Amino acid sequence: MKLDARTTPWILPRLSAAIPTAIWPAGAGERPIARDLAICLLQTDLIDEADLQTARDETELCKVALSRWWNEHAHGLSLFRLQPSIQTTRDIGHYGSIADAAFCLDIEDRFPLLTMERAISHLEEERRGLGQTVLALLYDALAYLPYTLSPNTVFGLAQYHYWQGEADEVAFANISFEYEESGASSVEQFLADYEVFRRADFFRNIPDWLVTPKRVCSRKQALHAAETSLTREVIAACDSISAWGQRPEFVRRADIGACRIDALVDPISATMALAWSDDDATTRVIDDAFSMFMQGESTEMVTASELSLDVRSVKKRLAAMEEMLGLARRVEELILLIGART
Amino acid sequence: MSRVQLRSQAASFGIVEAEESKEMDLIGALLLYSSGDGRSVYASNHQVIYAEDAPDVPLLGPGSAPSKKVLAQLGEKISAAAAFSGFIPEHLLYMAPRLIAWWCPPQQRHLWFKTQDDVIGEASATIRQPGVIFIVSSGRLYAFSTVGEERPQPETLLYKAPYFNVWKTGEVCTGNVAMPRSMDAEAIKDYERAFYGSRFTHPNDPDLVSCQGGAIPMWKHLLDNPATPWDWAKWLVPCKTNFAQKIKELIK
Repeated sequence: MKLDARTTPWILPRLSAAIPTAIWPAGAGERPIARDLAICLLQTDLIDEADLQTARDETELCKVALSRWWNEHAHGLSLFRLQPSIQTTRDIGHYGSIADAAFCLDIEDRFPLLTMERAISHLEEERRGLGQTVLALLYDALAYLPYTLSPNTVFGLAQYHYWQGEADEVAFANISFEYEESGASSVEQFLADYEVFRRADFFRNIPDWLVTPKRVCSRKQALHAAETSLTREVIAACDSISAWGQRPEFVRRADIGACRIDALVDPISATMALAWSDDDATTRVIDDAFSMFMQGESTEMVTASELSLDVRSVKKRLAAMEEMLGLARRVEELILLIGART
Repeated sequence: MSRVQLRSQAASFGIVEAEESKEMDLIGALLLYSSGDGRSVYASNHQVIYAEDAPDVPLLGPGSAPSKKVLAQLGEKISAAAAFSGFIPEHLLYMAPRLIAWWCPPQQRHLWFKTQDDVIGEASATIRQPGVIFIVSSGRLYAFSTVGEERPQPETLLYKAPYFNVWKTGEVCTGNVAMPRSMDAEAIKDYERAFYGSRFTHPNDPDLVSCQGGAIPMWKHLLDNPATPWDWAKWLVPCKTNFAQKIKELIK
């Protein structure tokens, strides 16, 4: 059919049925997550009829339902200032991941540094081993929570950053070609010449057991020794953490991997840093390690754990997060008792 | 000692989609008419409409001659995706709609390794790097080394980039690396950061460097002796092509 474009009225051509009316230009691995996530949430009963009536699209539906769910379980947390999100894996440095998305937790602002010397020393004065026992329990609990810099974690950073993952500077020197070729007459000379950070630098003026404390004091011994309200409150907070962790629901639903940072990225943030005192090596180690991490692939997230968008996986993750938040609330009570803000 | 007390507030749960994942609706079509010899082209601009009695069937609405404004807007959008406008970075060497090449001069870089072998394993160090020409072509990243300190010219000979995860062709295996999505001059730093900041995991080319034993012992030596002066010219393997030839090959 031929028309004179100047005089003939335009007719309305139909589109071929093969022409899509909407597209996602992304590749198969970057498909939108909101639609799949919304379907999962519908099957977990997190979305109600009112949400369906009011939400403009799947993204808003997910946001409304998950915000309500999160705030119900995270309500009252003041020290763990977590900002939750579900993100495509590509955007968080997981390019090539087979998982659809990641459950992520950010923190607001900079992370605080809290010192524990005064409170833990007080507990040790009440009964030798009590402060150590409290920290042993605290570190065990922190394993289930978003990335938090305890003395144990910070010492791990020191080993990684200063000693290539070796136990201390001497072990590092013994595997180092730099030492072999330095011409130094001894390990000690090499360490001095190269100003290598030493284990003793870390442990200066802090207890030997601070990095790997043991539960050396029983509950009965602790209660017997408790003379001050602080000690009694700390024991109660520890009881609360233990009770939460021993519930069958926790054993069944909690997941130590739910708060990990997946993929080949290093963290450059944390929920908080727990130091012994203002002038210990904590700040130096964190600054040095994070400065190095920032040169490579790194993340400011304190949790970025891959999540498959199927109903079973989403249900499992939400259950794990509920247990985590319950534990976080109890851990927070303990930290608020033993930590002082610098 | 001041006890910690912070306020608590309700959080808004975020859903973060990939930028490219945004759904785009069909809103219109340009129909092109051409004379037989292809010298004259006419375009008509159509909106997509839906009839009341068939709301699921998209139709092209009445056409109109596209205004200069519409054509200008269209040209701007196409140009944004296919061409570059902006300040030219110092080390930019070549630019075409689907290709960008730049030079990273010899410099100290902190490199990370995470290999499965017992020789390197997990390690990192700040090591002086040779000059590297990076080329991004059709979304693929290529890396080649140069000898010397001078800015490369079209006739500059290329050498294999001595890094793990680089194929024989110079293409970088970006398996786990989050690569920038854009391909413009402003993304140069992002590409370099993605390349040098990722963890090198395995050599993809047995003939990567002129070193007995290959690239693994060479990098092990450099990781253990990062401060040792290193004459890269002795260790780089020539590609038997120059920069201009490589560009021509990739543009084909």
